[in-house]
Amino acid sequence: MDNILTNIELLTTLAPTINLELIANGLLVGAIFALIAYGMALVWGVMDIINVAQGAFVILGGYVSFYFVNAMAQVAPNTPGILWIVVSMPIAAAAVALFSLIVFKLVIERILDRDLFISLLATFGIELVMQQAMNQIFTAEERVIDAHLPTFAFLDYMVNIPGSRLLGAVLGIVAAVGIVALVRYSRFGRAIRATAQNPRAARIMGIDTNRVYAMTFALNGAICGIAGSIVAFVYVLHPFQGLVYTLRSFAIVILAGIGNIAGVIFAALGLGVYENYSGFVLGPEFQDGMVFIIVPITLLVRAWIMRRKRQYLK
Amino acid sequence: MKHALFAGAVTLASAALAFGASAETITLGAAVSQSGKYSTNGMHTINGYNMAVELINARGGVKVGGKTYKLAVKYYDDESTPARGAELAERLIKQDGVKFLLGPYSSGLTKAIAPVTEKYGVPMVEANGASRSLFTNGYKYLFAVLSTSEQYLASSVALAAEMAKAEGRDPASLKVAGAFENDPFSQDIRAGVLDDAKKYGMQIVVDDKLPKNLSDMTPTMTKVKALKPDLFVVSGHSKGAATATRQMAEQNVYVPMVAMTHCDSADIIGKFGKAAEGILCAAQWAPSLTYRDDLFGSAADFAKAFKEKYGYAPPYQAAESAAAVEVFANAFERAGSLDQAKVRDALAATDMQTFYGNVKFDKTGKNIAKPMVLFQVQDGQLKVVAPTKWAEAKVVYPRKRN
Repeated sequence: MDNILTNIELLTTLAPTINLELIANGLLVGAIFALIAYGMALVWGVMDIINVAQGAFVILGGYVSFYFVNAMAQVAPNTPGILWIVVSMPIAAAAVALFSLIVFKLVIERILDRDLFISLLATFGIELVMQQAMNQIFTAEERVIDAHLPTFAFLDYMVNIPGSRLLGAVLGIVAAVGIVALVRYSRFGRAIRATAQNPRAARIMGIDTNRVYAMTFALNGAICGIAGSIVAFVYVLHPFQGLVYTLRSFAIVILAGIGNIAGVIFAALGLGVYENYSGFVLGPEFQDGMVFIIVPITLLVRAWIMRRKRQYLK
Repeated sequence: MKHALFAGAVTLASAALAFGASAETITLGAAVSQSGKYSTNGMHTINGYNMAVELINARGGVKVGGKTYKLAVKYYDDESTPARGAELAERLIKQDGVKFLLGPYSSGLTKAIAPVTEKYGVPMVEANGASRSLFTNGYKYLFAVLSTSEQYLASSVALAAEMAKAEGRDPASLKVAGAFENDPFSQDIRAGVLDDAKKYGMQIVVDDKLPKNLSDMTPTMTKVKALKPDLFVVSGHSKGAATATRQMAEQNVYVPMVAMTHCDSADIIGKFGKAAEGILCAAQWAPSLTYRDDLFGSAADFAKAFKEKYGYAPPYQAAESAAAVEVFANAFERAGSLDQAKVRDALAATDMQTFYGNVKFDKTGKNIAKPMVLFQVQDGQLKVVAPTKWAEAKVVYPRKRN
């Protein structure tokens, strides 16, 4: 309790500039989460499947990127690492997308019209198998990519923006904008949206919905691949680390409301800042808890608003 | 990982052969993680055990009461889950008839297995469970060759006080920041650091608990930066060491003395290079220490032989595991019998030097003869800087700014 008061004192009177650092870093972290949550929202909205394995897909993408960057550093030691990091992103995206297609054919296709509980169980199973497989193949050693980027410091070193996080956020936003444009303006995107709105009608109009589902799942894989290569140079890769990303994106999608894409981005940015503050004030051990407490609160508030509306309509 | 599986399979096969071939074998049982989150360290443990067993057998085996026995280890994979570990210990003892156990990897697994060995009166020498809570239950059959966890980073507090005195400052004026993972092992380390800091009258300015699923330490880093401590202590296994090293550099956090656990197994030098410079690392053992024994020779000899056999430099987890087998062999010879109670008494009376350090157990079964070692990253290499008796280099204080 004393700790909490001291922490608040730090924020308000002793060193108010660190507020800026907490906010800036929270936004940068949020941009990465936004990308992952966007993929989850897509699969959830279109296929009605909550992909519990989302985080494992992210970590898999990270490993692809890690091994590619390392291999390139051996082949061409004099090129800047940052080049290979950027090049590794589409490669990781393609690899995880392909992997997602295989998972789709093996498992997801069979559970498409089953209830939510079955899909939770199935994707949870996929996550467990992926974790252990990655543990066997890549070992449990922590892996990181060092981007060798400078940190930008402001206000007498009190506010620091790490270059790697900035790059991660920028690449994340570029990828997100590209994917949003794809879903909104391309023919394929229109098919996705039509299927999400009404699969039966879409089928009558000649859309091969099964193919749309497969492509949606692969698109999510590509998103996870990109996010994974960002995680590799901003955070730490570990076979069992995926849960962090699954749970964060779940909370973000709930917070935004399913089908609300713009909401996902705002929710993710907000959650990043909120998480940094709760970690600072209450201590890092409450950071996860403070994220998940958002889920029931959002659901309660939403239920309350809906009830109010019904009363209003009456 | 392939190594571990292969090594495990080979030993299983050889153990099975030994069972059939002759009765002149002492079989030690061990449930060690070959899958799950401890599989890497489980592999180091298995390699350490195998290394010692093979060398002892090559030298003729163990002489017990005029008869010579070979050693063998029967392994099971505990899947990094405590419940499975306890189950397998039971199976080793009751189904396989194993009379002596080697420890698993990690405090959590050891804590699950110790009640089982205790119940059946099976002596267990363990090398990878450091939690001090293991030694507060009055266990009679549990012996640990490693230093307990509250000692891991306490030495860094003493070192900080020493440095302050050399500068003419009162140690009581020092400020300490700590971030410790929320698991029994790291919380023991926290208790050790806090106790020692209090002894000097130091002020604890940050005392954060890191979550198990740690991915980001930014809030802690921001706090440390604002409060400017003189000593920053981090314990969060390999993930914590890697995350802290990266984020300290990225967030421009400067503290004159930084101490961590697991920075060797996290390979912070290989991963981050210059950002790791000057960080102090706690370790159970180092190849440059001057301990020696008749089996392996010096610590450096062990390191060389290990590297030749397994293709990588031995982390302390492998060294302490090998030492556990040595301690067992020594106790068998002194007991002059394979009676479990007699071997237990011989273990309790152990007083020997191994390449890994001196071994002497107190009443609770923990090793009180071996201090922890502090390394410092100096020019991209780990140099022993404390305890001063075995130090190969002088500590660089304060840490250089990047």
